[in-house]
Amino acid sequence: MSERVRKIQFLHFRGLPDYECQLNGKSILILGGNGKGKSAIVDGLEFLFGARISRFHGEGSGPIDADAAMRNVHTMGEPSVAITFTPTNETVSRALGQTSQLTSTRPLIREYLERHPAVGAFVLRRSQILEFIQDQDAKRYQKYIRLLGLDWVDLTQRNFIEAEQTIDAQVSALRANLQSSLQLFRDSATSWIPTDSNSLFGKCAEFADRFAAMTPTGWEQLDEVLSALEAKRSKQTRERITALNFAIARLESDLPGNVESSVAEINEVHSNLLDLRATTSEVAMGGIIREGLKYYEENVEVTQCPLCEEPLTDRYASVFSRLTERNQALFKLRELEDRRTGLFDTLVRELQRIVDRLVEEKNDHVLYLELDAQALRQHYEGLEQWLNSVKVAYQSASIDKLVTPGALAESRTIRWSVREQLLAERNALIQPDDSALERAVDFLQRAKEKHGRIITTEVQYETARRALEAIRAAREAYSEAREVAIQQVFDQIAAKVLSYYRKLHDVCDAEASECTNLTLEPTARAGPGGVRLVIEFLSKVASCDARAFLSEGHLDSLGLCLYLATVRIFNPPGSLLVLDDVLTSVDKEHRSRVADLLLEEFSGFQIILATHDDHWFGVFQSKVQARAEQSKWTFKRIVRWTVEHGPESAAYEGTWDWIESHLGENSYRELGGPLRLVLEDFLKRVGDKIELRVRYHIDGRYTSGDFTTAGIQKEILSKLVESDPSEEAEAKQDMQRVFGTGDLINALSHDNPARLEVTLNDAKDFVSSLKSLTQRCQQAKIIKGIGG
Amino acid sequence: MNQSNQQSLEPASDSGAIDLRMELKRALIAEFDRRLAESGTVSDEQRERLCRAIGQGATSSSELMAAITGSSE
Repeated sequence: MSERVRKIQFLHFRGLPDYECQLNGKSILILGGNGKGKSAIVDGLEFLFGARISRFHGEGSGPIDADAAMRNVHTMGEPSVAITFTPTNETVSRALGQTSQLTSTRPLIREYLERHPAVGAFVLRRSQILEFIQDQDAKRYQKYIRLLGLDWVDLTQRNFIEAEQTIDAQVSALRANLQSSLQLFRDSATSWIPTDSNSLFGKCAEFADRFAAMTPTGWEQLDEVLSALEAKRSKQTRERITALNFAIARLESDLPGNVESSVAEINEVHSNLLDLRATTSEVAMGGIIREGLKYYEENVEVTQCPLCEEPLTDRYASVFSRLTERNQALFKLRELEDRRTGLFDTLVRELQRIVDRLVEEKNDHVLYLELDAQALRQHYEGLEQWLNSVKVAYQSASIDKLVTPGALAESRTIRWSVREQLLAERNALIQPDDSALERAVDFLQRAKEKHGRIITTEVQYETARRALEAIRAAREAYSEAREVAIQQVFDQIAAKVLSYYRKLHDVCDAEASECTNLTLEPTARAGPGGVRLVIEFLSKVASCDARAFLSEGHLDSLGLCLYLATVRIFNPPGSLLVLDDVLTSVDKEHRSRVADLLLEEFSGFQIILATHDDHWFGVFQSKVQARAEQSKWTFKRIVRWTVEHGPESAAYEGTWDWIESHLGENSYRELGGPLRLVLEDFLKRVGDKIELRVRYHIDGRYTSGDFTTAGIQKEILSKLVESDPSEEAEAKQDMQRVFGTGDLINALSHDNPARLEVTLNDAKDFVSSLKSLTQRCQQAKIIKGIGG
Repeated sequence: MNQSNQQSLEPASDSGAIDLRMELKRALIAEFDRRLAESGTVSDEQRERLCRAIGQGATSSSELMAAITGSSE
């Protein structure tokens, strides 16, 4: 990733009325006391990338008005944050109310933004550190899954379960259908029911063998068997019996569909629709609402509502919120209307099938008693009328609550009663000797009519059953594979966390890490579950909760390691890492190691660090210099904050860079402050390595005068000569130029005539000599933070 | 901690997240494929279609059913 942040601009944003933070593609360490605006800078980055500031939302945020909190109390303009990249010099920005994801037409910038999808993945604040330790297993799992972008894995797992349920429902429906068809062949005398089409065919073959003296080998021979049986039947009664058999078989199968449940479902949806309509008066304005929303989203800079022409500065949020709410209601409304349409389609189809069946049964009415035939005809006509009225209501959309027609229930009762009558008539026609033959004919005729459908259903059932077996096996295989793959990821993270923790705590025998192992164990075995953070304490207590054994400071550093390891593994180098005051409960020595960890492990990242710790700021600068990485870092000291101007930095930042860039004829006289800073830094770091009697300052602030008064020059020279006697002359010259021109810094630091006497060459000599002296001290190992 | 698996997941380059996520996906699909083959209830065609569907990321239930039945729906 070649793009890096060049600068961040804040306008009317919290405590930053008009503030610019220059990074020039480098990492930055910002030093500032409490209330100097450091966290506002981090807030701004959260807002820019995520459209919100997390600490103003969710649990514990109470009645905070997040939008109001983002405004600057002094200027009260529309808050915005912009970031400019280098080398493209492209800028992206976000203003309050703009909630869409940041994007850009430039592919490099778009790629950069896409690699920073979730703010929590690269911004860590002090208050969040312990969350990594304290989270419940499930919450920690969700957080990791979100950070790792693994939600698709769990989504697929859920979809496997859903697919299995769907296919299982299909299998059940086909099984019920098949059983219902086979039930029609139930032998009332023996209670025998065919188990499948083969068993049905076997029974047919049995009848054929007994009455037609032939053994059919396939369904196509059924006609031949039936003809042979027909020849044996009584000529006087066989036509009537056959007709009765057909009519009875038809009446035994219930009317198709389930009109009652369809009607109940339609009425429920209808009632929901009425409720929704009552609260959504702008139904007819759906298109306008969508247009309005689209307009707002695309024109965040507008100040007047295009619909009501009222100023948007105060009402924008509420108008937008109302539009969004109504748009959602409209969406729900359309969803319900679509569902009701679908249900009506089903109902009309079911009714049509019932009417068609009754029309077919009209042919059998000659067999019914006149009274029953009349009643059925009336009910049939009633149903047909109801069907037509439903169709009309459906087409004209003038739908009201539906009531299932009584004709339907009446028809069922009459049909069953007619069946009983026909059965009695048929049985009376059959002579005792012929009853077995007639039963065989009835059975075979039914088999002839139904076997095709039964075989088709069997094939469908078998296909669905195999699909169910396959999806079940696939779901189980996926679930197990998911566990293995996710465990691998957590093992990877745990190994990294442990290695970071050891860098901070496992330094030598005298300070060995008490956390001897660490694992992240996924807990629930199916579907999204949890992940347990477990440590081994001093190789003595296995699998224990870190909180039970580690000190508060160690827990903090473990939380930091968890976060940093996750970032290092999952965020690509070149991306941002923002740490806001994350070392408050870590002691001085461990903070120094955190600096090493960041410089070693995150050298490819662009880091934004904010701290109030002056000492750590100095240590970090020293370490950067020791690594000769000054070109990668910039340092900013925020010296004050005012409500009118926001944070104010020291006049010089990135001291050595600043000095180099001002070492020219026109600007070298501005170098007093920076030169004092680098000299003091040099003296403090040397002073840390050699013994010196310096006057104690309770505020911990020491100047170069404190060291020179204590005779640090002599000590340095003595150590340098001791280290390399051959360079005594050069070392003396450097010492002379740095300490013999003490007035140079004073002269340049103050607006007095003496500054005019300092030449550019004097300044150049001072700079080159201090650099040379620093190198000599590095070689002699008498400077802290360099060469151990 | 499964050390042998962990080795195979080390990013080949320093490009970080993307490589690791790809590796994770590959590990998931390879393990899924192996377990499907062992199950004996999933045909080679079904296995191939399922792995292909999952290789494309989040897979809907209808896509999973289509992979099982071989239908385009």
